[in-house]
Amino acid sequence: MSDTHSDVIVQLVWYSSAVLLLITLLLLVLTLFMHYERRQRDKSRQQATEQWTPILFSWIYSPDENTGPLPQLTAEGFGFVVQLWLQLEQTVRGSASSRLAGLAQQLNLIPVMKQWLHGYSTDKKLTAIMALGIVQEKSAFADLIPHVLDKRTIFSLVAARALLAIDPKLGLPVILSQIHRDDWSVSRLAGLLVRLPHDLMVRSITDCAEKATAKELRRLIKLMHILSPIDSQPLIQQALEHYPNEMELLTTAFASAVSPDLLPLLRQQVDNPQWEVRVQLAKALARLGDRSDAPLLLKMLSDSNWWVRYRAAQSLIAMPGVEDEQLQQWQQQLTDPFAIAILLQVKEEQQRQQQGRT
Amino acid sequence: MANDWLQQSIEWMHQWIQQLDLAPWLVPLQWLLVGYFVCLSAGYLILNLVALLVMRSHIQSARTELLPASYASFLTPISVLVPAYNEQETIGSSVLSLLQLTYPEYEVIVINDGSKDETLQVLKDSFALTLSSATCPLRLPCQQIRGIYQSSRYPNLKVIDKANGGKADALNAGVNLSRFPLFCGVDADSILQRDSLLRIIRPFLEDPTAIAAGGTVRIANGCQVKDGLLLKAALPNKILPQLQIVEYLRGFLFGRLGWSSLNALLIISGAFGLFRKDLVIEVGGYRHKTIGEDMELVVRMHKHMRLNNRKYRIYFIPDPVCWTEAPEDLATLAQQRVRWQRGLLESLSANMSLLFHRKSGAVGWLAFPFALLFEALGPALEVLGYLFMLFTWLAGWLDPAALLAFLVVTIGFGILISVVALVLEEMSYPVYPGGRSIMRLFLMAVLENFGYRQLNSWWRLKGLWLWARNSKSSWGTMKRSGKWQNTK
Repeated sequence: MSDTHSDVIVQLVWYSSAVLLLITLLLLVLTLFMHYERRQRDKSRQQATEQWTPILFSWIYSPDENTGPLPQLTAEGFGFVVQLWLQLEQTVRGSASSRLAGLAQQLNLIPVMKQWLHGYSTDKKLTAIMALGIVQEKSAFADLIPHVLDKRTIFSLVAARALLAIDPKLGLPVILSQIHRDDWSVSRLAGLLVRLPHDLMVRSITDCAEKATAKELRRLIKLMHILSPIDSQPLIQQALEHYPNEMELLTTAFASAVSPDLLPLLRQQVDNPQWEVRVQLAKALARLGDRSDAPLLLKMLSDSNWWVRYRAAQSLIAMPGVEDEQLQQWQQQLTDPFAIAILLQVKEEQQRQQQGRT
Repeated sequence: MANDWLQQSIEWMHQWIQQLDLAPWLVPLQWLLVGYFVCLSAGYLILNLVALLVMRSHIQSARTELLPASYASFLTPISVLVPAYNEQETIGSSVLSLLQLTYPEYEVIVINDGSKDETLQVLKDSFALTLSSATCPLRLPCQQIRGIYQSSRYPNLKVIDKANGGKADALNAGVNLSRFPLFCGVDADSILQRDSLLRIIRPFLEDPTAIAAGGTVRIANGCQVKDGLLLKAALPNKILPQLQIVEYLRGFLFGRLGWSSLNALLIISGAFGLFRKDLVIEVGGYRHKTIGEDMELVVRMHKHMRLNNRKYRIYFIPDPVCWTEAPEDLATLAQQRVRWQRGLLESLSANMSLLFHRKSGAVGWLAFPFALLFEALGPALEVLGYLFMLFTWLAGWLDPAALLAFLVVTIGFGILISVVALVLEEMSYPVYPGGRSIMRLFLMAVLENFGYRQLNSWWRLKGLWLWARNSKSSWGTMKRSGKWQNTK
């Protein structure tokens, strides 16, 4: 490199350094300015909390005194007050909740929430979905449906709750149409439906089950079993009749069976090729069966799968009215060494458990 | 006398260098080093710009900051896994802090990885543990589990006592016992900000393809902590931890945020990261016998998802904060940096097939080569650069004015990127109060260029050397004071 070239490069490097220094100083000033601004924002947030918390409480306890105009709010202050309002709404019930909904009207909340519903901010959208549900805004029902179909679990569940709050009759079929979703845990869904009128809930789930796939029917049976076990029996019957080869569905159905009316259908599954189904059958027979099922369970003691033999032995011993004498008799009838061994093992376990208790 | 000796030595060196015919090598080497610096600077500059843009949109979308408590029943439950090895000093307050997190449904699983001290006894005494008859499926391989304990005081606290197998092995055991679909790995010597889980869950709420998310790790030295709760954040008095604060801000705020926006984040710190359990099990869990098991897992998850054409995202979220203690002496810091460097190299070398793979996207074509060239092999080139300058100066080939100009621009650039990190911190989640803290951090950003940065390069070079020699790895135990865990 010639000297002139080197000089030019060195000059350039010096200029770059100067630019870097200038940018660095500007950024430092910007940082300090942002720090100051944030402190101011925190202060105003604190002021908003102090000003609005008493207002919100007075709307709950003495709404008649709140006839005057509400304090002016900035855009940021508005968002913050809505959060306060929502959090308070979640802690109250009945007339207090209605009174807070009245405050929402005065804050002109609904049009703003509808705007937020179509915005990009996650928090604003979620806030809007919740708020529209709480004030039971009928005109927002159609806008909320796409959110139930949202792939994001929290959006879909919060929207589902809002739909049920606005119109359970129309909302429930929309929600049940998403029963296939694995990210919706059945227990959470049951938590949403538990306060609905019983007839509406049973009718909607039964209607939905008519066109359900095996996977959907399995989830519907679980759901109904949590909400109203006896009403899940027709669904179990449907499962046994329409999907006799769906292992997961059958195991759920057997685990949920509570009605002895299902026994004839259950007994037909004793030779089901899948051992998981036979295990559940053994358990179901212990729960629902009678002495006439003893031969069936004795046959299962010779099953090729250890778990089936084990559960069958437990079921035999747990049968109402079965005494030691009867067990001895059955044991003597057995010829299969595996069947004898498992029966002895379960008997031994039971005795140890009883000794442990005493 | 000494001065004469020095001058004579320099003259002797000068003559010796002149005799060596090195001129043909000098120009290419000079251009290699200049090219390296330019590429590195350009890379950092782009990452900075991307991070600034991402942070702006993050702030806009999360203006209300916290999800209202009313969504609580819909939040996915989380298993918090705390691997512990010889942590008797800090384990009590760390677990206590984890039990006080603001999150609707979570469990804490502490995994005592065959500690030789009283870690298990401290846990038994502090949390009234009783031996449980619970079992867990061995979905991931791990060393023998000696016992599972349940706290009779805290229903959501479990402790696994197992044979020593390393941090990765301990985490695998925790994954096996965990009940929930998401798990969060937390270091036993760290504490989480109370709302950290509420913040780190965000990507999983907003994006069904999210498979992992990492949060920011901050240095706790100097902070006031009581019973596992952070009372007040403050800068430490010692210079070494202050220098590390600037380093952490830079590493987390623009490094990870920038790569995260390209879905090419290669590391989620083992101190605080949230993962989808089914995916971690699918890729085989944490790999044993690696130092950087946290990074290795993330790189492997990228590889698995990219090569199988599956849609996914790995996030970095700047505001959920985990606090940890930084080394306060040079020996411990050196040990930590050597370990980190080896971890980085192990993670990259174990997943080399990702590099420039046609399906690997931004990970294989940008982040991986960047990490390999500037982070893994960077120390070698940096030290080579320092030696080159010394050599050319001794040979009399270096114009002092040019040397000074290059030094100023290098240091200036270093300070600039540190200041951008300060801006990002102020934009996201500022923890240190007062303008004075900002000025002190700025001072550290200047000071670190004189000695600290060079030391770091040296330690990293040592890590590179140890990795190349394939030395044995073990649990990363670090000398910790634990004082910050109960300051008043």
